[in-house]
Amino acid sequence: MPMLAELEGLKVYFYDQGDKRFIRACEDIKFSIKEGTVLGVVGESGCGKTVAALSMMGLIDGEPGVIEGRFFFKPKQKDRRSVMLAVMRGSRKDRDFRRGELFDLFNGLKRCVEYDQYPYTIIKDSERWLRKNNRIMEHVRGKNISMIFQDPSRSLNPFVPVGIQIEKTIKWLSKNEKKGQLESEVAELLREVRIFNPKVVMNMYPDALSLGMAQRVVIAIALVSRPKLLIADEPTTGLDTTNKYRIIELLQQAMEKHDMSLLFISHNIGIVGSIADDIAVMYAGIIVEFGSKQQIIIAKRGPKHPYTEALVSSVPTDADIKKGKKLKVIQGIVPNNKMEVVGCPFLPRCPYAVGKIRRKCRERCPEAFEVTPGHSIRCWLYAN
Amino acid sequence: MVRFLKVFMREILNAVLLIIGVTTLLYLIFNIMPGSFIGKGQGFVGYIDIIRRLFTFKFGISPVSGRDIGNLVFPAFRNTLILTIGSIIVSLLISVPIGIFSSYRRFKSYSWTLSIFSYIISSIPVFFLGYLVIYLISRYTAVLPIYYLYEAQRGKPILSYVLPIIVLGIGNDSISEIVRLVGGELERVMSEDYVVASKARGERVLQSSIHEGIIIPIISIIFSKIPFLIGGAVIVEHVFNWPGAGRLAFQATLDRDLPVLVVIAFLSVLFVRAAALIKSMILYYYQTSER
Ligand SMILES: Nc1ncnc2c1ncn2[C@@H]1O[C@H](COP(=O)(O)OP(=O)(O)O)[C@@H](O)[C@H]1O
Ligand code: SF4
Ligand SMILES: [Mg+2]
Repeated sequence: MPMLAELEGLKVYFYDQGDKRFIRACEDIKFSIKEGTVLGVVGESGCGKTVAALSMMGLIDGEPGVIEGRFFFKPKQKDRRSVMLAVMRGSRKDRDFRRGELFDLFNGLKRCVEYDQYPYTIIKDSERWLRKNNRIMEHVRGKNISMIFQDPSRSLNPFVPVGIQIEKTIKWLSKNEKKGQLESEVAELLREVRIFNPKVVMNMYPDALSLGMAQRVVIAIALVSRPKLLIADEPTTGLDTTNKYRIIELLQQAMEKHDMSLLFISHNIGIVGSIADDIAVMYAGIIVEFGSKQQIIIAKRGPKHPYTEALVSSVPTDADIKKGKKLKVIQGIVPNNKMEVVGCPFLPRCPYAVGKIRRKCRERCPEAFEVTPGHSIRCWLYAN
Repeated sequence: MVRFLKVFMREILNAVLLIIGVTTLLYLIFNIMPGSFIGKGQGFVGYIDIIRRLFTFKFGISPVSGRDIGNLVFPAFRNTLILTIGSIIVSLLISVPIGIFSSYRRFKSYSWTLSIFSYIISSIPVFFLGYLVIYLISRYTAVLPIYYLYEAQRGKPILSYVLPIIVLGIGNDSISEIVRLVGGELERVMSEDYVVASKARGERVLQSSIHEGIIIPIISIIFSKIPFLIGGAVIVEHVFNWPGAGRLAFQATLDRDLPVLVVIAFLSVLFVRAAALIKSMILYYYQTSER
């Protein structure tokens, strides 16, 4: 399957003014999304999933900090030209802004960034960085990539009825629409996300909606532009179980109907397993394992990162529940991301870091080792 | 509608109480002070007489200058009104763009340069700024009149409004306040989740955020500044020899022209309360149209 998006070496640090040190939100993130597939990103909260998604959208606002990397994306045919021009305008010198049909949306941003003391890259000119990024992203945001935010009720304007908010987005994306036509279009969209009384819902204010309804409305708004990639940040968190699976079904249907890919972010590996084709497991700002669902969840044997293993086994199976076993928990806590990283971030919680290997784990953070094609693990156990 | 009437009646009642309070106080004080005064020494009857005169707007003749008080006071208030409103507009024209700019382009060095600039200019006292401007203008250019041109001398009367309005607009220390308010509110609105979400849809959010976030605070701050502006106007009127209410009040105080003072106090109260009334009406309108 052809690639839709490839993220490489994404690095996002925030600077903590109070403590005068960096917060590592993302470190060297690398994953790829094929057309028409779902990539699930899973990891405990605070491990940088949202930050990674936001930086793909160019929405990390330019606080003093670090942001770097490459993000290749294949825009829609009709936006191809404008994206290409915007990307090339970023920097003519870098010749490698293009990979077949994919364009590096972060192209030229490097030049607004100045290296200081490795591994910290200090953004000297976040203003220019943002402006450049915006210039490229304005052809992409909304039109090619849409995003659903973590908390649906807060991503709707509380002062405006939902119908009007959807209309506003439609109007924004296609300038010439008639009033009557608009309304029927909104109703159509709402019906598509399984809201069966669109005329009523249209006139409601967001605080009158239940969380599940709000999530549907948010999805409807995200689908207005028929994006190629939908980033869903914890779309099921906070919903009850039936609603969870309905939303997932909804997303799957929308994908099929509009030929869309999905980046599905969740802290719940069970949910991710039920929708994703590929899975990236994140821990403390790094992708510790990337592979297909088969390789990561289904295969009982075979190479696995210790963290993934712990995650997978913390989900109780039916047999476990019948036998009334205690739930397994992962020992320890998420590391403080303000600390300097030396060695593997999972070390304090890792049961495998014993004996000879432990020294290695402590000294250097492992790079990604490819164990089988398409399956890479960042763990010294699999060093070849 | 009921709520509207409630707000309206509350404001009116407020104004009436304030007028009664102010006039009572003045009447008591003037009764002790030397100087001639209608109704002086007649106790309650005299007070009622004054109130009647005030509320019918038939103020009578000034015992000092012998002129009709109405003819004296109304043009002065008109001038002060022009000065006040003009200076508010000047303040807004300077401060709102700075506020929007410095929060929208938060990291640029010129945004804090502008903020500091706004602090500096709003901490210059009006009297100093006034004389400075007069000095500079009259010494190096002759484009603007530096004092109020009376009827006979008027070529272009508008021009004599320019300097006092600008000086009061800059010097009335509301610039830095508005800059801070606008910047803070805009930043708050722009980082609201739903604004980020609509940004993610590719929409431009600056305009709607301005509309949503800063109009109401600006309205409330402007109208609550009006009493202070009248205070500042007294000084500017003096510096620029501008025949406004402040100067008239000062002159009347020196002359012990008590009837004029009472009328000025009365009209000032009306003025201030009218501003408050307009403010709550506008805010009421905004809140109902929003919800
Ligand atoms: N604007 C910000 N400023 C400073 N730190 C931030 C900011 N946004 C996120 N972080 C930090 O980045 C880390 C990752 O956050 P996030 O991506 O929201 O985690 P999650 O995986 O739960 O979505 C957190 O530890 C958080 O403290
Ligand atoms: S690198 Fe070492 S500490 Fe890290 S997960 Fe592998 S074995 Fe555990
Ligand atoms: Mg998150």
